[in-house]
Amino acid sequence: MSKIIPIHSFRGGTGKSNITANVAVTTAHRGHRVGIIDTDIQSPGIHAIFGMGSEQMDHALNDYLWGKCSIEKTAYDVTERGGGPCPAPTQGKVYLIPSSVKTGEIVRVLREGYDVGILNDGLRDVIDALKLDYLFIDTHPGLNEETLLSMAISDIVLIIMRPDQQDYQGTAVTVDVARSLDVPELYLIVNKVPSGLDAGDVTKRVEESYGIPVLSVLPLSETMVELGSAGVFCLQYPDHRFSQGIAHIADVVTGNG
Amino acid sequence: MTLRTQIILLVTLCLVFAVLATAAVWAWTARETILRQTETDGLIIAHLLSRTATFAEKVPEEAEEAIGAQMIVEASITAHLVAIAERYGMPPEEIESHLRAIVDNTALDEFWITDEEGHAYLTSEQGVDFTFSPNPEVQPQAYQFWSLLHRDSSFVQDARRREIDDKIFKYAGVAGIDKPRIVQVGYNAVILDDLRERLGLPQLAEDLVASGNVLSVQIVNDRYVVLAYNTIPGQASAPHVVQEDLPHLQAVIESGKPVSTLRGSVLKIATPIMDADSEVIGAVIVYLPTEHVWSSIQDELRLAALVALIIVGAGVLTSLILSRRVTRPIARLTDAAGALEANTFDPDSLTEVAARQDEIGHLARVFTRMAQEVQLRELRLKQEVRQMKIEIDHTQKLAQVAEITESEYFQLLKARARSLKAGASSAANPVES
Repeated sequence: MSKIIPIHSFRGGTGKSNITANVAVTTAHRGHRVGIIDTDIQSPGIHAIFGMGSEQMDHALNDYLWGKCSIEKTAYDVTERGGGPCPAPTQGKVYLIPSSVKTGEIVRVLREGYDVGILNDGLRDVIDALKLDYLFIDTHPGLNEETLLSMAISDIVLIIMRPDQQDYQGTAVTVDVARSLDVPELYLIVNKVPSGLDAGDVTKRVEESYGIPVLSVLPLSETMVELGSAGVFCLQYPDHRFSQGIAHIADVVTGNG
Repeated sequence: MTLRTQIILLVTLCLVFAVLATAAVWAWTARETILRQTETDGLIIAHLLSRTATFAEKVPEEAEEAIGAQMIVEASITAHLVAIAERYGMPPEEIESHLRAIVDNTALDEFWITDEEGHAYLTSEQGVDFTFSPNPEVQPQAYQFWSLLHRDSSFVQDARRREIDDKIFKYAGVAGIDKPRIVQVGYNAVILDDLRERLGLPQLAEDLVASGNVLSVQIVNDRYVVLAYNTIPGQASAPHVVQEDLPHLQAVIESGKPVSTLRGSVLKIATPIMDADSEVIGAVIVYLPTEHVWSSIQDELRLAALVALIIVGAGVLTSLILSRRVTRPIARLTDAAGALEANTFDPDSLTEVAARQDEIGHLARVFTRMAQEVQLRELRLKQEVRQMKIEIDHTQKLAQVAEITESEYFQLLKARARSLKAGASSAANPVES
């Protein structure tokens, strides 16, 4: 049975898209068929990590939501587009359903909104069409209809936070909302943790504060900052602490943790 | 290279340089001093020699002069004696016998008393018939006395070798008292020859060389003719002036001042010989050995080497102690810096160094203070990090959550999600539905 895994954060800049791409690629490397859907229609970004520009996008999620095409048409095989020295997975696949980067279409979404029911159908359809084992949803930060929907239908919810006072309150709200949606598995990931902080201590404190397990404490890495969004980090630096943290997330997601 | 090695090397190099420079100056000064001393000694010898040479030439002359005067006295007494004896009719044989008794018993060796014609009818030499002649070709020596017969009152002849028997004789004569005649006395002047021999320049030269202080000596006149020379075997001193000495001798004779030169191990000193009027009449050149100079220098150098060895040894030892004293606290400071970096710094580790009253002690105190500040700051930072509390306003959170969960949309969504999930699971597991 395929799993829907939305990745949330209360605020922007937590590294949500980056973690989504890395966890997805790592999961695919374990021989799974993986999909990523960028539901952050207002500020799309994950396509850049796979080196996609608007010219490579004939169709985007926006087209499906407005009934211009089927969801399958918006899915692109990005298995080979991760970059880096690691070879592409032999068994697994990575499909990306990007959001449009065209300003006009972004503005239209903001003005008119869309029927989240259609999105829900789309998620189901694409899982079936591409025979996905896992569908990762890169959501818009904060809590909105589409976020709530993705949580409501999810199997696993990954909430990303930074060790920053600005994140603590919002994350607590997100966790509680997710709980009330009866999410089967709810995990926290602490990202961009400065080297001065002890990972074990952070895990302990976060788990005590939020009452849910912390999957990984990912370091704030200068190497990662340098790479930016130009490639999937764990393919470039498979031995980095960040990549090891991602591998652990993939383990838990695929039921090997 | 460690700081300690650098200090030791630097100090050792400085010491070796200083010691070598001092030893070199020392050896050079010693050489110069000894050479100067030798030169002074040589000058004294040469001066003495030149003065003695003048003196040695004078003494036999003066002695001969004195003998000559004495002989005139003897001749005068004889003249008076003969005049008296003849006036009172003493026969010539008796007169001759008296005079012979004088010759036999005194230093007087000969007498010759002539008549007006110059015939020596009274003489100490029995059986010799001699008549004075005015002709120098006939009598190269005796002719000089002819003038006593009619002109001069006395005449003293220089001592000279007689043609007849090669003996050195000195003759003096006076004119007769009673009538024109020659009264001549003769003296075997071998003593003058001895005196010349003993006091003369060759003897001087020989004595000087025999003393062992001089290798060789040459005495020349102002025409560079060698008057006397002597040498130890193997040295270049000869009856003629050695070519390489000629310029020095010329310089000495022309300037009247001594000249000294060092040729190999031989110091040559030339000094002028002056006469009574301070006119340069010749020169003396002496060769002095300088081996003792070199052996003295070698002794000095050996001593210098020993002293140098002691100084360098003491210096190295001092630098070892000094470098240890300087570098050990620096090593402690370096260790402390490393410990600070490794977060294992113990402020007590620098107590000993910080107790010093010098710059290093000051540095250690400043370092300890700084390190403690760094540690304190780090500790504070760690505490801050640890105290990074996750502050959640639960009241606010509850309100915010409620705002969402109690909304109609949420309730609808939740219900729909349930049905959707159920649908999905029924689709996936049709048997369960």
